[in-house]
Amino acid sequence: MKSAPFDYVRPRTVAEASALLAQAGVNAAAIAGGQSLVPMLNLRVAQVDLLVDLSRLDELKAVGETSENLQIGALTTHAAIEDGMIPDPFGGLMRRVASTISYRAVRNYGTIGGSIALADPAADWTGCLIALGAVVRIGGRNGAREQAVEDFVQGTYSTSLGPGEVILGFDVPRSDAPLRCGFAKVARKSGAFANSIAYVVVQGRGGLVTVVLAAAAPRPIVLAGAARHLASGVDSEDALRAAVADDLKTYLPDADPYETRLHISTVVRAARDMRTQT
Amino acid sequence: MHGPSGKVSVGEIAFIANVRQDKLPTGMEPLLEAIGTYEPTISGGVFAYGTHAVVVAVDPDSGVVELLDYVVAEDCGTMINPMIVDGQVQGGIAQGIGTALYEEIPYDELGQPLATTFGDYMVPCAPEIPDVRLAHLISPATATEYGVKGLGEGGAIAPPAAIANAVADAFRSIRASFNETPLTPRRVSEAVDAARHTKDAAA
Repeated sequence: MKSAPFDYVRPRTVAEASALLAQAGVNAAAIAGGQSLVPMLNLRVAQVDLLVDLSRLDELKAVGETSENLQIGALTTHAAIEDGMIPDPFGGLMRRVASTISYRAVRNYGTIGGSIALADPAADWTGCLIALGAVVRIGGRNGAREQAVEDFVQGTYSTSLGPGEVILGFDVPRSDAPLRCGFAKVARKSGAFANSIAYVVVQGRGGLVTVVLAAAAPRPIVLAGAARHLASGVDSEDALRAAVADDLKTYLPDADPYETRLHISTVVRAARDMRTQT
Repeated sequence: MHGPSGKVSVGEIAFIANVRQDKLPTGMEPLLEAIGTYEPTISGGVFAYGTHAVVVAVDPDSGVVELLDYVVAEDCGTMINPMIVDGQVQGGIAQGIGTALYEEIPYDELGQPLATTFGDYMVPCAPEIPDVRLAHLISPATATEYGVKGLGEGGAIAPPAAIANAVADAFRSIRASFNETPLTPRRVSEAVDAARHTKDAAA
């Protein structure tokens, strides 16, 4: 199928983009890499009057490092992250996550900002950025604001992005202690939507542990019990399984037995993966 | 073309056969066409033999099956073009892997088809196909010209049986049985889980 007709405009400034996106009576959508939006338009799952192309907004391309943060522009492509074109002070986690997103052809165009803005439940970046404690920087006609990615992503295709707001980029906090990060993903095949993705981030020895499960619910879930177990230093996979099973009873009470086994297995594999990163 | 009484160019023959049919000898059909048929003396079919061997890794919880190694030995008699033989076997295996692990048209309880696009109907792509190792045995057929045998189906038919048997072998100790293709992660995990419960109940 092909998309229903739409208008297209490519603004040069965030202010211009914001004004275009906020027009009353116009169903406008921002487009960056278009790797999800264009298929959705073609399948007519989405229909818009106006596409506002963000790809020429230099403000969304900035990448930099401060002592506190890695700053990633919203227009950074998955391929740029996969290829190490931006710093990855997170033990290579972002490079590895990027390399498993769909196919390379998609990664060449798809952007990290677009992935977070769409908030597909099976997306790779939402869970990853939540696990890393990232903050999203948002701009628009009502000024700039910041929000934790964990709060920004609200549900299936649902975020706190308001009319006329544009994601500028992300600040990912750097840790003083060396990070050890693990990651595991199950999808039916390469390029298919994931069925389960787990991220484990450990700050130093005996430090803060974050465990995030994605592709399991409308939004990624932070697994508190699994994190507590990993922080306890008890090296027992059976105990980790039990902790994840308890978490799932709380956060995913409707999971069927297979989904429960699947999610436990991705968390256990992510923890194993974390242990191999020294 | 040279004959006993002179010569004529191929171009001239084509021109007369197609355009100046009035110049054809009396009784000769216009146009240039030749049809030949061939049937081996055994009309029941002359087919290839093949054996598939596969090594898999299976995660018992997620049910994900990974193909670690795949070897085929086949005999299609005389190979007229070995490169095409290899390609046809490879392509057949890709189809067979689709049958074994991915391709399915499920329906919901109201009869609605659930796989209506290639987003839902899983076809194996290049990353899902291992580098298949091929070995050829050549025992020419006695009943055919040049000793050739049919080749097309060999690659596609065996993979579901080979892969399902390999997965079953991985869980031999708990006697899990895998009787339905495609072997989706959910089916594999559920079969392993059922076998574990049976084993626990028996113990």
